[in-house]
Amino acid sequence: MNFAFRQLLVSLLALLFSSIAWAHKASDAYVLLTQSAPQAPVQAQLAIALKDLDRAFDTLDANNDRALNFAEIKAALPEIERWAGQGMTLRCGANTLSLNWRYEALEQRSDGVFVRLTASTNTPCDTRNSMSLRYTLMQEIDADHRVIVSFKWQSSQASSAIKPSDAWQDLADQTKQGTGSKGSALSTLASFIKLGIEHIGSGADHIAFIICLVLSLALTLAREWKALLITITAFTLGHSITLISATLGWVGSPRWVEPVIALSIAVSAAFNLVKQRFTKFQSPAISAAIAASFGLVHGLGFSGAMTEAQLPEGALLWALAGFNIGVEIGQLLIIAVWSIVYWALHRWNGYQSWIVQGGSVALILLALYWFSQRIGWLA
Amino acid sequence: MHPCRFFLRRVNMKKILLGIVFASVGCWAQAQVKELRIISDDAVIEKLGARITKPKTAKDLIPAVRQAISLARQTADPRYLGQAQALIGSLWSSPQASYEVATLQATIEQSRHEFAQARKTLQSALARPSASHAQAWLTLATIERVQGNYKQAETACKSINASEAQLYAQACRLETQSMQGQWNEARDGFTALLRAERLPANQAWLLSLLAENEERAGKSDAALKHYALSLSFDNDGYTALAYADALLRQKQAAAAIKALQSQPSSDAVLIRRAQAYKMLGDPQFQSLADELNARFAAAALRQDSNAGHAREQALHALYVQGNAKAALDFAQTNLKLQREGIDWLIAIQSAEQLDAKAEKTKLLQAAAQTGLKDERLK
Repeated sequence: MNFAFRQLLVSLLALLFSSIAWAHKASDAYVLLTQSAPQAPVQAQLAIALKDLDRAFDTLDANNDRALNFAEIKAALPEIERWAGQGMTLRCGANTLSLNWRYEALEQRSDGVFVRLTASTNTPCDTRNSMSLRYTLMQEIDADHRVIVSFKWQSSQASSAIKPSDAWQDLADQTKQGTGSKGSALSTLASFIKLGIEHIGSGADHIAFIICLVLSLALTLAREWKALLITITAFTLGHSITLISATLGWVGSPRWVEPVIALSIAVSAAFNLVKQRFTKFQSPAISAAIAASFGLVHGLGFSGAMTEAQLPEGALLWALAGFNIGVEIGQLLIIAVWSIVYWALHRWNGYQSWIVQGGSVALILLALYWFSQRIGWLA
Repeated sequence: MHPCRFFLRRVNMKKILLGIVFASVGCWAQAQVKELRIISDDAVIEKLGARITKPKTAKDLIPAVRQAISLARQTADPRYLGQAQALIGSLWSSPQASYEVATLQATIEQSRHEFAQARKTLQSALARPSASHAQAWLTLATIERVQGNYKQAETACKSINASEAQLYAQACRLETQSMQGQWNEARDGFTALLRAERLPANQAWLLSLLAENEERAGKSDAALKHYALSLSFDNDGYTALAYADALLRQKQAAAAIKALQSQPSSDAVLIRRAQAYKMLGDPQFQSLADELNARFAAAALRQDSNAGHAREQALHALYVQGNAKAALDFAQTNLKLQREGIDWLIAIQSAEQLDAKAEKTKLLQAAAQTGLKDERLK
């Protein structure tokens, strides 16, 4: 077998397996820029992986045993600090700020151990107007290297992934626009509000449950509006708790959630019928308790949409707040539509028997149908 | 105890909502970055992978790129792919690149699941002069098979100059046939090739192809046997994953963990381990799930297109997070890119868990339409 052909064989084997599953992500460095007050100097942090530094410095692993100890890292730090200084520059207005990096700590990330350097600039900077970054580290070494830049100015916060290049990247601009899913707090909030509204609007079961909660209320009376407010607040409290817990991965979304959501509609609709017959059940506290406890289950149902939505990490709080607000707006819209129906029909003689009782029975049947479907009784 | 859990227990019920939000933000950040306390100068802080020999002359370029690609495959570390591209440098997508360089570029693109781009690169590579175009045709055939284009895969297999790479040309055709349901022909073919083969690495590879054929044919016992034998010849990462998947489908979780024992901790390997521990009710599941969640969160910050990672994202959602809805979404995204048996299976299992019968029927029909035949897809 000639040499060229043997080489072909070796590489062929590597190719023939269809899809390769990768360890972790490719190489990333992390930059954090902060400014505590307007016009204050900017503080910078840079975290770069030891695995990347090893590729940039042949001498880092001094004894070439392919294991780095602290002594080897310490010995290379002056060189690393200089290297970082020539590979990353900030510009504020017309001033180019060179960064004087100093070693701060070693940190463990999901992708290995990183060296963290800090630098502070001495020149005051109006970051709202112009702040740009030039980052060229690892450019010649790894084509997939990215720097994840997070910036926390006094009023805004955003992060974005930047490819090393000789060009200046306008950070002020990135803060204003946000980029993709990593947008500014406000754009995250807005997109998750939208998601929340869409989610509740597209879920017939959530709509049905809310109708159940308001169906028996006489919305021409002030005290009934109060009861409505209490019930809806209780529902919101319930679903917020589980939604947040599930989004953060503290509780799962078990298989029984969907059938129990269906059951919650049947129970609430049945309760409407009970309330009509036995006045002692008309206390808003009971309705609120039902709404809150089933709210817990509905929250688990909502969490699916949140998990799907690729949470922006830095803006988690905003995403959660946005989604909850969205769900809230959705609920209020449903109630608003229901109020119109109520205003139009409540004077009708048959309202109680046809709409409230008939509606409750219909909702029970629908809910039981969903329940049996979800639990797998029906095809 | 994990500090976050401790915090959670102490939260006053009245403040639970606020507490949850703030604790989470703190713990979220904490989970990503942990400062190290260094005790001694000698403590090993990071293990490093093999170094790529930097090319000194133009002639050294191809072996260096090849070494990087092969290390990427062995270690499952994508850093080597970025390095391989950087080595190719200005020859990347350049008309000046030779057939070899362009073919290696396509391999890097294929490894990143940039199949459309890889196909384009291969077409331009095939237009360049070379004594043999076997490698480009084989890579092209692989891409076509992964994407479920079996006719195109067959054409690519047939274009290989058989006198030079006969084993590969035949295996290429047999694998394509196997995917289209010609399991008996493929079995006979692979068995004949195995009988003639002496190199352990090639035997291992042929056995893994045979095992996959048996899985498609619904003969899981034979498949498990071939996978195990293949791994005894060569402990290949891809085969180990396929073996673990086959074991997990047979609910042999402990054996699956053992099969992955010596594999690098790639996302794909961790997901299978987590799945197995979950099956066993082992508390190690939780720490693996935490690690995977942190990894996926870190990867999301890169803002790459997520499609290349969607298979792992679907598996993660389905088996680690238990979120079938998200899993189905990722699986659908993944199917736009990859259409191997496992890709259809993930989508179908997600649909089953959601009780989405219409969706499942649609998926089965779509799989059948590509010409894929697989007894597991039912």
